[in-house]
Amino acid sequence: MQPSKRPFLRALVPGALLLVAGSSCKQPTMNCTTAHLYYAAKYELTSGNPDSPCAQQKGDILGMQTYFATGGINGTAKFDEPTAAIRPQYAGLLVVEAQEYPVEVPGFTGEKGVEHWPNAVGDFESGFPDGEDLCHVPELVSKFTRPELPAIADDPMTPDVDETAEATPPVAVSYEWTDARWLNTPDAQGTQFEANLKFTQDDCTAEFHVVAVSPAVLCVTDDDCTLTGNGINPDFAVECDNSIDDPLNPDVADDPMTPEDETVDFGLCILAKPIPSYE
Amino acid sequence: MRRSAWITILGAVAAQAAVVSTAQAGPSDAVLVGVVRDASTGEGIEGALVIVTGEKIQGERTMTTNVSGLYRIPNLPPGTYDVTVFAKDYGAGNKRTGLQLRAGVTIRVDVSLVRSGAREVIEVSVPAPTVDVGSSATGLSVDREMAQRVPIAIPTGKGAANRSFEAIAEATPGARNDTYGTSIAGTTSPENKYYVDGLSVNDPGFGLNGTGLSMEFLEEVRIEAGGYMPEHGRSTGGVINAVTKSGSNQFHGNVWAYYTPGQLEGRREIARREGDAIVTERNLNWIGDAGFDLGGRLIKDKLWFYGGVSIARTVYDLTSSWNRVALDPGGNALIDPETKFTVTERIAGTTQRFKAQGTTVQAIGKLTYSPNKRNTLELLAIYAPSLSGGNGTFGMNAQTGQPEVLNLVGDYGALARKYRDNSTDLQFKWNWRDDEGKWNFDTILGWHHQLNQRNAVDGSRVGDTTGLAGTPSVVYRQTNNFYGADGSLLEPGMPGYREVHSLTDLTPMPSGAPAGACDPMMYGYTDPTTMDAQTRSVICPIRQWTSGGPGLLYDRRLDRLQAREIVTRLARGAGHHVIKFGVDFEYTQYNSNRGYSGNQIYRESTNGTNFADFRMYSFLSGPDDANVIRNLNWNVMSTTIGGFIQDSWSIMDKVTLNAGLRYDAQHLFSGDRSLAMALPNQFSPRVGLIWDPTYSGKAKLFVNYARFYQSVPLNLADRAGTGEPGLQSFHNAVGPGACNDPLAPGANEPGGACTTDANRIPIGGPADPDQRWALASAGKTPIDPRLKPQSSDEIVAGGEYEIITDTRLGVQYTHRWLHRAIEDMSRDEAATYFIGNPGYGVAKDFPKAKRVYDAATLFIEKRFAKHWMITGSYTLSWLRGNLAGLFRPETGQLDPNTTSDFDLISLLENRSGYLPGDTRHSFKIFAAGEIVLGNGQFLRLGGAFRARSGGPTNFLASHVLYGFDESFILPRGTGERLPWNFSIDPTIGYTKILRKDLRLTISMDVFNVANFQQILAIDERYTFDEVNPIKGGTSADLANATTTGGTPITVNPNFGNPTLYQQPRQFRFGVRLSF
Repeated sequence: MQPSKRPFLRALVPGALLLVAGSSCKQPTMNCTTAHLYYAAKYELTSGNPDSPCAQQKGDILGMQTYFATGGINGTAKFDEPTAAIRPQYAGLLVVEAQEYPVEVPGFTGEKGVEHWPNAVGDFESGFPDGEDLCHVPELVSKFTRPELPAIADDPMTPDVDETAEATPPVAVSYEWTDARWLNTPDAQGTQFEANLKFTQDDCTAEFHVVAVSPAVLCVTDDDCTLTGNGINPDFAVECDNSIDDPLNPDVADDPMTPEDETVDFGLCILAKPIPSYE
Repeated sequence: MRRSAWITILGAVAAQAAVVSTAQAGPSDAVLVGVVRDASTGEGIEGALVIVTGEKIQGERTMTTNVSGLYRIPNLPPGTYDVTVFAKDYGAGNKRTGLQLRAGVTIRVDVSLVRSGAREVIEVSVPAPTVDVGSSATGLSVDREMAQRVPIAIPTGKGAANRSFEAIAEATPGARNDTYGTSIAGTTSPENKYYVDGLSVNDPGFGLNGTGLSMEFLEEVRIEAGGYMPEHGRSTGGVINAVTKSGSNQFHGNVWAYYTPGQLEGRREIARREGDAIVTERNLNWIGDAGFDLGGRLIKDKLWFYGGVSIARTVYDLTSSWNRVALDPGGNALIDPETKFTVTERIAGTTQRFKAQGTTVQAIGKLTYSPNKRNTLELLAIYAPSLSGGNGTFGMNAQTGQPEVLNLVGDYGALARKYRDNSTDLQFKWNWRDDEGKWNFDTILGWHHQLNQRNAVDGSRVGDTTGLAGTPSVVYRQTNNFYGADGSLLEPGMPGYREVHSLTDLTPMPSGAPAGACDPMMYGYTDPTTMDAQTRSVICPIRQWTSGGPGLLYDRRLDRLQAREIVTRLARGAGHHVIKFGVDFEYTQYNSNRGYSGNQIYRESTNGTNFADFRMYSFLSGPDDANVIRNLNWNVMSTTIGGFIQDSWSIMDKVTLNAGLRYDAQHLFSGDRSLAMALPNQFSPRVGLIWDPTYSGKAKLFVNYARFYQSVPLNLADRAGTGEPGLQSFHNAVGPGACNDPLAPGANEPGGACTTDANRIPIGGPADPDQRWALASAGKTPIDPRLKPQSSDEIVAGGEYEIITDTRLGVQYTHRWLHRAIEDMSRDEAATYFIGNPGYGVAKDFPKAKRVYDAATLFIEKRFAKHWMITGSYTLSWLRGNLAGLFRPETGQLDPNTTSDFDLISLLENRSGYLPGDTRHSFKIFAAGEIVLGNGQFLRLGGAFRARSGGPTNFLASHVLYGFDESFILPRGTGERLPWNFSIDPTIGYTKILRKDLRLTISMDVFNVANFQQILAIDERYTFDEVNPIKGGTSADLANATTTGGTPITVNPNFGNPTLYQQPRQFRFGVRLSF
């Protein structure tokens, strides 16, 4: 090799290094997760007697959480081994009713375990979304029986107040969620949800198709669902469903004593389309 | 006679010497190029021998001209050189002496020879040209001469004790100090690129300068503010390059000591605040540094060495005292009618004195080896350990250079920490050049390492289960409440009546104080705004107090490995070309081990009924199944590969076209080794055109366009890219067995009163799977798939003219604007976050990130010659937008690319306006001269003068989710402007030449000689209340504004009051022995 050619060859080194170092241009996919705020869910009956009491639910508020397996790097979580929990407000209120009952409820101790009765928990199939940006949990189940709320006698110490209450019979509920899936993109981090639900209360069973969006936003008209700052991603296709009633935010009836019409029919903002529901 | 005629010819030739292009070889070395011509025909002379000699190079560098007479001698360290040219039939030789080469410039010296048979070498002294007719870069070069003669670095502030090179960078036109360093061209200091001899020393985690090398070890600091060529990249700020001294064949050295005593400090204006029972005064005790350096030869012309050591120390006095509410004879609290502040009185015998101190040692060693003409090898090593805090003292914040605490409202062990901040740098450079001067190769391998530890003052460290590191930090912050739910005034003892803590409830009174001085007693208090007559009992009120352990502790280890290969090729074709291309690889790593002492910080609720797990690394593995992480340890990394090609094309020696392209690709990786963020395809075009209208190197007009991309510091991969999982629960503090004192023995142990589930207050609603825990933060923050790297565009234009020898006058205009920013955002009010580009992609409905900087600068520069120098500039500038940069100046939040600026849609209103760095007018003059007293004695005089108009201020309120100062009630910058501030820093010195090459200099610098105490900052917190921004509001709208709850706003009594004044007058005394 002639000495004069050596510099030229060495000059090629930078270019070669650049070629070797060619690497990914794609951003990482996110870990599977549910959203952490409440969801507003619409229940559509798919099976069961439409007149049965358990088929009357039009929707609910769902609380969800994602848990991670222990044993990750340096004592942290394994963020790619997530578990989801779903807790319908309807079931939660059954427990609250017992917790706040003025007298002790036999069979209901108020310990931590009781607090978790309404949670349906299930593992995600994978730590990362599939090709359609969906994260799946095949099954989540919660089953519990809220014991009977005993009858309350009048308190002789308070002559002005009648505390008398009749006993409330026990309630057995079961939620079997199957094919639960969450949209997981940077734009919708688990905030759109869809699943099949087999709901049983006492001896009555109904099956629903459930679609939900987070956060849960109270509405009267469709415009309430697209208000800036209400927390719902403004790109989502949402609408107000007045048929769903949140017992914690009951509708306002007209006051017959005033000439104005005070009626307010509260509903919840729900997804207008199957997920992914975008404008 | 004959000889003088020769000199005439050569004098004309000398005028052609001109600085050409910034297409330099190494980042700090200069290059000499030129053409040897026949004076009569103008033809290039082939085969002429060009010899360069100088103090800074071993032996001599030689080069023979090519067929067109061109020569090029690269890799010349900054210094003074002689050039001799020999050509057959052109006499015995022609020598240019005294060519001053500054770092990074390419100087062009053309030589015209006359055919003759002369037998002697002709010698001409050539002042190097000052107008860089080949470059469109803006900025400043500060050489050793200027740094020693002018007091540029103010003794307080970041890197000031040892006069670090980044403190010097503030002298650049348009630059200003910010919280973490020097802001250049309207950017923030973490956006700068910091180099020492071409070794990148940026803190890999946060982008700050990681090696604050003292100016004493430097030959020159070159600050490129803008318009720089593609070989510089990965920065949207300035490029600050420190060039270290080198050895030479002669032995040279210095011994120095500087001392700034606190006793001579001017009177300090104290910012007055609505009273707390603790008042702390901070005063400088002393700042000083001392050191030595030595350079010389090990083997003449082959192997040189340079080395030095310096030690710098900063000591502040922190004096705290107890104060009680002053009462009138009627037992009513006194209110200052002017300020509406409660009058307080100092309690005798309660004064406690502390020190905040830090010590930094720097050691540098450098070997330069030139085995033959083709090769130069250089090895550089720097070790700079730094210690502060502990043993009854407070530490210094290494990121800001200030004491770590302002007000001593807490136990010593909770407020003070012990810091260790080390940096280590190692670099190997190899330069190879061919004999013809066509090819030049530079290979650079470097390693920058940092260790940053924050330990408890008892020496216990992150993860320890005993000592202070095993003790939780507890923040007490109970508030006053004198009103019932219906608005009625409450009396002591009534339900709901509540007062802030009395200091004696939280800490024992100093022993010298009169007993009972702080005992509660009933007194009347008339609220100065509502005029309500309240009854109070706490006479020594304290609004916030921290007890227990020190809170966050960490052990961070950061590394930056670099490999660079740069090839320079000299070519000819329609003029002369200096073509340069190279590849640049960086691997950075950030091992961050951090944890809260005793696992967590407990924070008292404002009503005093519970303690929250305010900060605790933890995660849930099942419903209410919390797992506490004692110390979170992530190891994150990043790779950056880049390359560039550029040509500096001198067209007919009149116009220079600099054009090039840079490519970079950065990939950040999470703590689990998976990709955290990909930032490929950073194509940065740069084009500049320079024209010398005089055709003689005395003037230039230039224009330049450039795009700059920002390298993302690893803090993003660590926090957002890997996750900082955290939970909160609330511990009941009322009743038997409650968690009423998290510091009680056993309370924070497993099963203790503050860890048992029985005391955790149920907080979940009916639909919450977790009833006793709330998620504060979880795992990784998702990335917008369409994310683009952060970048800025810039156009600079200007002109310069050499008005007299060594002196140039210039004018520049800079227009720089943010193109895209990377930030974290939430579209659903903090429920979920993602990282993207505001205004693009997923974040398309967020406003675009804006930062527009416009500046016109007029400057004059005369380098030190004929006993005097001056550098002065006036800059008229505007800085507007909604993003300051990589940190938030309003709160000091340093989370590059994940600040809270764009977090929530509800925070975005009113954010556009004049940014904190907006300074309309800025004057800077640095001058120095010496008077020859005879007998080897000189009197040195000089000084610095700065004047700056005040910055904008704001009306800030609290945000429901984000807390104080996050809501702009009125558009950004609507507040009254801060006043102008001036500082005059003269210096006087005396130099005596003791004997040949040995001189002694003593000096006195006086900073802020007039002791101006102008306001530098005011309290911009209009209210503690939650108030939503009033879109486009004016100050007239404030009167009717309400909180988010619809109630009238309670104005912060301190709003608009000064919070920071200018540094008082300080004297720095120096002595230096140099040989």
